[in-house]
Amino acid sequence: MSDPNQGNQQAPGGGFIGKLRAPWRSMLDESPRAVRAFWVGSIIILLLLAFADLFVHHHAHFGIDGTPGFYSLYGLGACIVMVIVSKFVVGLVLKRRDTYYDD
Amino acid sequence: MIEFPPGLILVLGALLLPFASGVVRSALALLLPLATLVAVWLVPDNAHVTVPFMGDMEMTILQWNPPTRVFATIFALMAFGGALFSLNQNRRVELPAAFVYAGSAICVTFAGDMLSLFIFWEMMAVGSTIVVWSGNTEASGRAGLRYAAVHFVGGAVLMAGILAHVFALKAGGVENPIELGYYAFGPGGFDALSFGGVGDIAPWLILIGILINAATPPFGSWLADAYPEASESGTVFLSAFTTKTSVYVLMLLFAGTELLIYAGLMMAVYGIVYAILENDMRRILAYSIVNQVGFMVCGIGIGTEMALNGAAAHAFAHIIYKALLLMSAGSVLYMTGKRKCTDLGGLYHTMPITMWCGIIGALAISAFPWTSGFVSKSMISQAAADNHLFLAWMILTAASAGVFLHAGIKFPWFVFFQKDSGLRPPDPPWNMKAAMIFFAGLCILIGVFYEPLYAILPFPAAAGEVLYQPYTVSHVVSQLQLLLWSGLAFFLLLPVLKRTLTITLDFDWLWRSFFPWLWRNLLRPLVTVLGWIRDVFFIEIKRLAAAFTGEEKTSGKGSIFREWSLGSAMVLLTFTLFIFLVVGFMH
Repeated sequence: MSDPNQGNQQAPGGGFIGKLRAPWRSMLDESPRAVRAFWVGSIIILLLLAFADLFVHHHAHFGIDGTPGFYSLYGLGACIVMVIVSKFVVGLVLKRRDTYYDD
Repeated sequence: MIEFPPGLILVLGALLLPFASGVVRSALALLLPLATLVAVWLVPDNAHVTVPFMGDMEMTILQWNPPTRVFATIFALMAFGGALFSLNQNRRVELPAAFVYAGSAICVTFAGDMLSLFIFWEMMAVGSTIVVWSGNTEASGRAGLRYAAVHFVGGAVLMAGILAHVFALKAGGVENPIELGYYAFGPGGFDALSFGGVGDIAPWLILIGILINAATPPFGSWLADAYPEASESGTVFLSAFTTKTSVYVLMLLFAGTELLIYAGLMMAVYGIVYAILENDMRRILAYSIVNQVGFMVCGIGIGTEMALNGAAAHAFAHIIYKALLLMSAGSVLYMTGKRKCTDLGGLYHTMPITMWCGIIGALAISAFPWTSGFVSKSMISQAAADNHLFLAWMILTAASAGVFLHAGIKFPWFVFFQKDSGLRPPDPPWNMKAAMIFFAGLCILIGVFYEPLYAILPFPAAAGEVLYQPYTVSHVVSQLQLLLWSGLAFFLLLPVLKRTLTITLDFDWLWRSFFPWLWRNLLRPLVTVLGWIRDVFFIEIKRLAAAFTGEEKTSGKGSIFREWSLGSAMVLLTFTLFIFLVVGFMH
């Protein structure tokens, strides 16, 4: 059983993989097989979907949206940009303790 | 045949609710919305009911407008789902207030003139404020007050706009200047929104009044401020009506107004950015309302038949899955008493029904194929593409990806999975489960059998034609790519998305923090200093002069210059006015 208070903290292992694993630690403790199956299955589906574009004809309206893999890369890229903007630009300026208005 | 606004069944029925209890109350709570739904469908196509107003004018309280059927139907359905979800709660005023709120929203959709629309619009504000207050906490009391203030200011702005336009129309010799047709500014595009001549302020005021209710930044912070402070069931009701009624009114009055494309895109992005930073699960969902309404507002700005159909369909689908998500969050709050993601997690162990319903809602809001969001949202994107609006299409597509990130995965993941919070609550009482299962079923049903929804849209297909074909291989593959790869982004960025005990400042900071600060540190000292100056000039100097001249002992003279109390001055003033009045009448 994991300590509920530690679930959100950094993995002791460090490094990129360690950081990626940290949020999963609680679930890994419970059922490592389910987590592994989730990841393996997801990656297979992601790749299949991206390569499906080679066989699916997209009716392109702007040109760029007809490029194979466009939706995959655009979805990934847009999300990364949005998270970075919100966490490190907006968040940096506007984030306060959640007792801000109570004080 | 029904010859009265069907929404009145809910409004008037709500007045009976507080006197009923037990089974009768439950039966009323469930039957009133259903009766309203039936009544909506029994209103004849050519219905036109008017009531006289101020002698020479007429208010049209019942008429079909193009988007009426789809909005009135979903509002009634939502009132039923919300009532079922709130059946076990014992707050006396909440459900009646929610019914007044929902019924007024339905009345807005049947209003045939600006004035009756405005009256029901304001009734919604009253009902919803009471729903917020029914949260029965100190925070909900204060949030409700702020909510009421924003909405009544919004109402005043709207009324000012209506009046400005009425006077302009009257000057132009129009006989019935409150008729809805005179307020359809939309096709005029930016020309309608200019500052060229007399009366041009009217469309602006009306637009701002509506956008305040649509939660468009910078007027929109009331939503994430007030909704999450209501009770578990109150928030479910609140999520449905105010913003979607604004979408309905925007569709009637401002379809094709280019400015709305940009307003909608801004809302879509704003909702995502704030939801990513948020820790309170119901505030995450509140921000995602702004995001979703952004899609609809953008569609209204595009203004083609396809775009307006898409916006209306999306409002219909959105009300269901958003209510479902908030029911899921409400069930978690009801069973655990916790609302912050930092306190939650691992609930999949013991709340499977709540979790699965939450996930279905999350898939629907993300517009996964075979859910309701897919068959509605794709029409708006398609309309943007058909009109070669490249920027709008790119932002809408990015925002679709962002929806999955901020609501689709984030909400279920942090509440039901991630770390184990150690909480082991069971699923909520039967009525809450039933409401969730009902709405989850609708999400999938609409996603698969979308024709009945398409049939009631503002611009139905001509006989023998297909309105829109959502399920093409290209559509499904591209949407799945977009969503699942943004899912990958979520899990890659999880370490960055770590929950923190923070809030993010919004425009409500102005009146919650800045104005009080301004009063404390600038205005109050200023007023105090002015008070001193007044004292010195008008009292001290007089007293000093009196001391030098020895006048203060001659009290008879002094009494002429004695300061009058406000009360006696008012009495004298009123009396004088009364004398004037009497004298005036006698002449």
